[in-house]
Amino acid sequence: MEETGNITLIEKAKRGDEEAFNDLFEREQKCLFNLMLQLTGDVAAADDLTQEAFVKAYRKLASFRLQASFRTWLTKIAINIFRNELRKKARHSTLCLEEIPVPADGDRPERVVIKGELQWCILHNLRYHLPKKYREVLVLRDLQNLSYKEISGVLGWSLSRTKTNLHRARRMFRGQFINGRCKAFTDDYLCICEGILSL
Amino acid sequence: MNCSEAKAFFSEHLDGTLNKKSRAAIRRHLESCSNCRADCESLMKSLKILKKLKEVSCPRDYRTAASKKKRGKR
Repeated sequence: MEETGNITLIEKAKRGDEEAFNDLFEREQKCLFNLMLQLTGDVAAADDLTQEAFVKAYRKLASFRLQASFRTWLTKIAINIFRNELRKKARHSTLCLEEIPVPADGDRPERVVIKGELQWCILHNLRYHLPKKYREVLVLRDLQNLSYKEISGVLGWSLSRTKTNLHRARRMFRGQFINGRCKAFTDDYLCICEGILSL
Repeated sequence: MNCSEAKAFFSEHLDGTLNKKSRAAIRRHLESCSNCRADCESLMKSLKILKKLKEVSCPRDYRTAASKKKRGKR
């Protein structure tokens, strides 16, 4: 359910009030950029696609009917732009062409370095090792915190398909950390940090 | 509930979205099955790793770009 303050801003923005538009979008741009980054795993691509999403949202704002939350509506626009972008690219975009730089034996990097590598590793796995449908559902649920119902609406899936794909996506993501070279990071991470990341 | 049925519910169990009956059934199963318990725990831990991904700041302000493009269209 949309908050009253947001509804007022949306109504004003729909009537062409630029200040209302700016307020509305200011709240969402960080979230939208991060969604694009989580989906693409690439800062430059996320930057381009975020701008494209905002331009599209600006143009389509008059058709927004408050049936979903503003964020969910924006997310749906973002997902469609992301899918169109993938269609434009060749299939090789799903291939992993990068080597994960695992620290050498005996090397004990500083905790901050490990954390940075873990961030990279998560994005790398999302980008290269999860099929699009699993990446989308995993990002929307576990990073964007959308409900099952909201995800169903955004992805155009039934509720049961959403649950099934989320379940498979989570298992696949875990499999990458167990079987992939990323485990070297998580092992180190366990040693150095909170002790919660052992698989 | 057998292992196969339990595994199908792990994801919803971790999200806390199961109904009371299913929640009780899966808890009973996890108490009695060490393999499923380990499987469910490792799934939970991998989600904790995923959620370690931090939000980053936007490289620029998109509002201006959007409204400029909109005005350019008119």
